[in-house]
Amino acid sequence: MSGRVQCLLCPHTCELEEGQRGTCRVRMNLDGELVSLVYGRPVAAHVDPVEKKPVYHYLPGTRTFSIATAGCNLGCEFCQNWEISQAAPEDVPPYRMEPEEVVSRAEETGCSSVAYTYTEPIVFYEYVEDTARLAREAGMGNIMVTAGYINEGPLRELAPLIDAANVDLKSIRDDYYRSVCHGTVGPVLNTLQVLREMGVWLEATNLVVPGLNDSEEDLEGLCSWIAENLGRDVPLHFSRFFPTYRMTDRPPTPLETLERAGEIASAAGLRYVYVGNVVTGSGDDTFCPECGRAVVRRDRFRIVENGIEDGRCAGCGREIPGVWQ
Amino acid sequence: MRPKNTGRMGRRGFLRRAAVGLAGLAGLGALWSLRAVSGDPGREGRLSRRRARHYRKLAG
Repeated sequence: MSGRVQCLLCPHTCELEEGQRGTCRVRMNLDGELVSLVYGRPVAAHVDPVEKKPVYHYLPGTRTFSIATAGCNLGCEFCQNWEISQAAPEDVPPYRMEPEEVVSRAEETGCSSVAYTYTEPIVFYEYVEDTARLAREAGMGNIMVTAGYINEGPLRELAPLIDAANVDLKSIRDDYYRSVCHGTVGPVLNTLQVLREMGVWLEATNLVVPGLNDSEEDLEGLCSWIAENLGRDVPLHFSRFFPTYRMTDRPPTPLETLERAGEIASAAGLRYVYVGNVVTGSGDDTFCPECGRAVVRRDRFRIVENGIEDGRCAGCGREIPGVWQ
Repeated sequence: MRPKNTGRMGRRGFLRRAAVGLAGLAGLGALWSLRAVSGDPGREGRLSRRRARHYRKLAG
């Protein structure tokens, strides 16, 4: 017997007739049951430095086996990976890679973790869950790079398997999410708080788009919200926008804007602020908030110097939050 | 100013244009069937059918 189903994974809560797919394109009503069309079918599998995610306070200098399937439950007009995130799964040739193989390949390539990234891991939830469980059993960590648009119930079930997450907080404004990303901000803020509460190492990214979310008010609001609700120790990565996909009507983010964003974040009390998607002098380095020393120096994705000993600044002994070994 | 070729079409002109149109459609159809046969018949087969979690069945 077939019938309608409602997906409860993300806030879209798509109601699907027989044969229909959700907004994500990868979850479908098949004979009255909801199925994942991308389980074990990654379209990308790479060995990356963990710094590329970006995750800066979790096992720096290690490699992470990074996978993605097709699909996403948002539709950001600036998506850098739109060729796979906004595609139907049958339109992008996938690999066949069951969770066991992901973990064995991660081990073979000397990775310390598996990262669910590039597109939106929420839409391949079951694949993440099974792979993460096996990776954990094999002594590896799990990293989720996500927009955080997920319902709280599924998130709380998955979070115990996740060691670190970078959540893309695209703006603090709901109207921005609605008009540019085809979502809402409330669930993303909730995801950030739940991950923090559940002890997942958390970092946040904000893509600064000229003329859309780069005003003083926007940046101050976003930084203040993080400081007040997640704490001043949550690293924030400001990422440079480049015109792509449906947003080709504006230039890349000026470097001065990113510098100003960093100043605003520091003024809001955030202790670890980084600038990404751009080569800067010291925007990638981790500074000790106590003595000002550059405790982790990075050259793009490469660790040049790691001055953290037992989770503390080698200079003054102050604790630097993160998972360092 | 009206375009020059909006005068009444003769019967032969109409038939010729209709024939060209039909030929075009037939060509497109052939191309389409070619694509369907030789394009990538395995595309659907690439998809998994793994039972998902976090959903409910709706009544009616």
